Amino acid sequence: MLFHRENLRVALGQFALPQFRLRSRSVSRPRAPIALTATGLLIAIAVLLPIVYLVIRSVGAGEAASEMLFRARTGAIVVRSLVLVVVVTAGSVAIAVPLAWLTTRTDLPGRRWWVVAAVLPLVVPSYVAAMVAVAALGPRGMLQGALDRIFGIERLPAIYGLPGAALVLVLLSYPYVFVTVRAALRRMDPALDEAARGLGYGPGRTSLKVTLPLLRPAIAAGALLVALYTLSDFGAVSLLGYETFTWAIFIQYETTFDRTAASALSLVLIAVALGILLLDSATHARGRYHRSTSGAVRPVSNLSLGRWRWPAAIGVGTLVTSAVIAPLGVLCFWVARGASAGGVEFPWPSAWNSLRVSLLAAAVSSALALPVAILAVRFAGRFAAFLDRATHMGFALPGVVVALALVFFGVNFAAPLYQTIALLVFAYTVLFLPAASGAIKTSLLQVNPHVEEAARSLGRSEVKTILQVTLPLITPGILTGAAMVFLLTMKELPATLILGPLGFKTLATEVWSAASEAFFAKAALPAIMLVLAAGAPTAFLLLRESRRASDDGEGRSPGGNGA
Amino acid sequence: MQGVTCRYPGRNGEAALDALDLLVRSGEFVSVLGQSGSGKTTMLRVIAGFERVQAGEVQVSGRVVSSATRHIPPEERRVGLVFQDYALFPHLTVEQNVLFGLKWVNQGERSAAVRPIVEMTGLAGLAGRYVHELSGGQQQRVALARSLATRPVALLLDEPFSNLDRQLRASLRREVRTIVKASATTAILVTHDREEALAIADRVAVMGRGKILQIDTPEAIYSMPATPEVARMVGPTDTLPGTIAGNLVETEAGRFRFRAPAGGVTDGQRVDVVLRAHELEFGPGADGSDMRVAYREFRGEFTQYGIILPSGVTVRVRRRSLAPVMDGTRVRITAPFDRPVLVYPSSPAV
Repeated sequence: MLFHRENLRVALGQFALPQFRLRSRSVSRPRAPIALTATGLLIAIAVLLPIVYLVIRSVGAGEAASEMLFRARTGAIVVRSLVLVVVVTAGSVAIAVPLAWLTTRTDLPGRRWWVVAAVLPLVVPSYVAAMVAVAALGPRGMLQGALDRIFGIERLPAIYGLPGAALVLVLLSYPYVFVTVRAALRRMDPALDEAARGLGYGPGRTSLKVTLPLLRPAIAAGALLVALYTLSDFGAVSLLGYETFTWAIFIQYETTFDRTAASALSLVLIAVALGILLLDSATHARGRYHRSTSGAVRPVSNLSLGRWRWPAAIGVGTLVTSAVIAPLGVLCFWVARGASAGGVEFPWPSAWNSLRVSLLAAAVSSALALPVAILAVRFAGRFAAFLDRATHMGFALPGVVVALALVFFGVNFAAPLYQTIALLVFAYTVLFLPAASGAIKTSLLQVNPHVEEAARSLGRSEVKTILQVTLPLITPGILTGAAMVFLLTMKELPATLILGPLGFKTLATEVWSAASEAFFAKAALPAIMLVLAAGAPTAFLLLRESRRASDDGEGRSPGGNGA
Repeated sequence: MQGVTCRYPGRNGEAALDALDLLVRSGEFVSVLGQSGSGKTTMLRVIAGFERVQAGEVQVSGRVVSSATRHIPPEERRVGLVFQDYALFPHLTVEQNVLFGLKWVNQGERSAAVRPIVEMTGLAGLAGRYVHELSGGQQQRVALARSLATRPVALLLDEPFSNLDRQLRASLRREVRTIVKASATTAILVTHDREEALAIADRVAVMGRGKILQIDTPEAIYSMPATPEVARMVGPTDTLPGTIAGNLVETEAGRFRFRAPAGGVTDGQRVDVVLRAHELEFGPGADGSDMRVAYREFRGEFTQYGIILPSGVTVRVRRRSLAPVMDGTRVRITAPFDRPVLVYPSSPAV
């Protein structure tokens, strides 16, 4: 979800771009044009309205809702969700921290390739990974088939429930921790390590006593992303039958006419998500973690792994194989098997639907993100900060909750919109607006505000300056943001299931419904299309950026920006 | 450009511009000299319309463009601002950059309209290049041409040479002055480099703590700074306490002839004596002299000596680089006949 291009940049050590946060020497805060402020306000209201409505409605339901909340089943859902969050977060940290260390500080063979491969699971939708897990490791899956032939084993222990969900989610979400920890390792002042060595610590004890404690904030940041991702995941838990919040909310919504229960559960889910966020900010340690010296980051001398070099490579290889290569293999196997049985039809209508709504969502999100980003970067103030936070709701809220809120809202206030593509695209926009505005903000921060002021003093009005100077300069950021929204929308599942018009199918819903009925051959082709659609551009981008990072170490400064 | 009075409270109650007055005449080239934080850039941004004023008013050719109640937006002021970092449009070519401000001229006439400026700034061969393909000096010229192309009423230059290396700075400085003068544009240049401020302008305004401390021709400012602070800004100085004794001033470093300050001084008055290193001399001291050479720095055309006084204060003296005088040598400081020292009434107990 939080798959930002800037994260990639940071991960690959390209954080040295010039940034112009506020007008450098400005004493007063410039006033935003009224049209821009008004647009921003409308966007904030639109984004917040459904959620506010959800809260008001469930609070208004009063007794019925509270009765629902205090049932034993609700407690079990809370416990199950939290157990999954803890297990997945711990597992991701356990995998990602050593992996980040191996790929930044040691002479592990093929480090550049491992970095790219290790980040790729981010593009695999959770329902695809879950389907692969069931198809391969299920009680009568491919592994069992192979073992049966060799050893005569007829049943494997069930993959469903906690073990399966945890396995799938760990393999999908460890990259969040990997990316943040790797960035921190690259930024860390090597002098600290060297000081410890000079004080008589060996390499092992230095890593344990100095490096690891210094990585704490990065680990916490990554872990927070993993926890929120796990909490909001719908695809994996639904296919693996582990009843957490999202799955329970969906079932309540699908099976009962009274939707109060679903909205009450949604509120609890929001509360748990907020709790995790608060826990994170409460545990921020008081120590300082800044670089202790100024100046350029010197490259750290790599630790020689010696005879552990190849065993480490095999370990990393096994991880990448199980997280990336094996799932792709399984998908290809099922496509081939389906093709040989002659039963596979190319899912044209779903592909067209996916493409259509994703393009629409990308266009709408970019259009709305633009004023938000300009206000946040150029006119920082209380209103801009509020707006920025309001539009980030989508990242904290699970798709199920946003979709549910829009269902209520649509049924009661916007009946003509209910069950239309328009409402669906609006849901995507609420969910993915932060991705678009994040990318635009990043590129806006690299535009020198003096360039805009120059246009003003050359006779352009504020609006014309934005159109003729700012927009052309941030076009790459707008396109990056649009591309990210496009990919996120392609993968999105729960909002599409809940809000899609009757009979509306996308590649995502097709995979999910086929997989939930164990028609793997039918699910494999759309699944592989989804993975390739998201994976190919990402891998290309990652490789290009990592090559550039290794070519010119310190990040290129675009010409003409001064700095 | 008629009268600029502006008051501007900054973030912590301190005024960035404190009831500042500045009058720049039409066609004049004024440089504003001040240290960082003296408010000089804020002043330019006020004139250009990027900052609002809380009191006072700014007029450009007789029209009030800024006051507490009135704020003409930057695009309607016809004031050109050349930024320290040039702020050229990276997505446009040199020609498109220069033409950017000419929105009222039709397509056919546009190139013709800017040709004189393009030629004057020596950009003729670079029209199709992008900004990142230019050197720093060329970028500077494009920034200047872009502002001049709109025929602004006033041209504001914010530390325009600070991003260039030393040699380029001096030649470009002359060039900019020639171009600005040839286009008969009123110009205000802000800098913290005293050499630059003195060399380029018709008049120099020395700025400190949000006020103009003195404004006059470079020669007048240099020979008769209004306050010790101004004196410090236009050249390296040392300050000693002294007492007026007839037509001489008596200090720990010796007795000197002096230039009387504006208010005049009376016999026996306690004053601050400002000594300039290159306006002093020293000769061999008598055996009993208690001033001696503390250090010596060879600087090429001259050698700078530090002379330590009995109280432990060091006075800098510059001498043509002849035979070096060894550290520890007893000396006597003198001021040449034609260069009296500067004296100012003592500031009440600092």
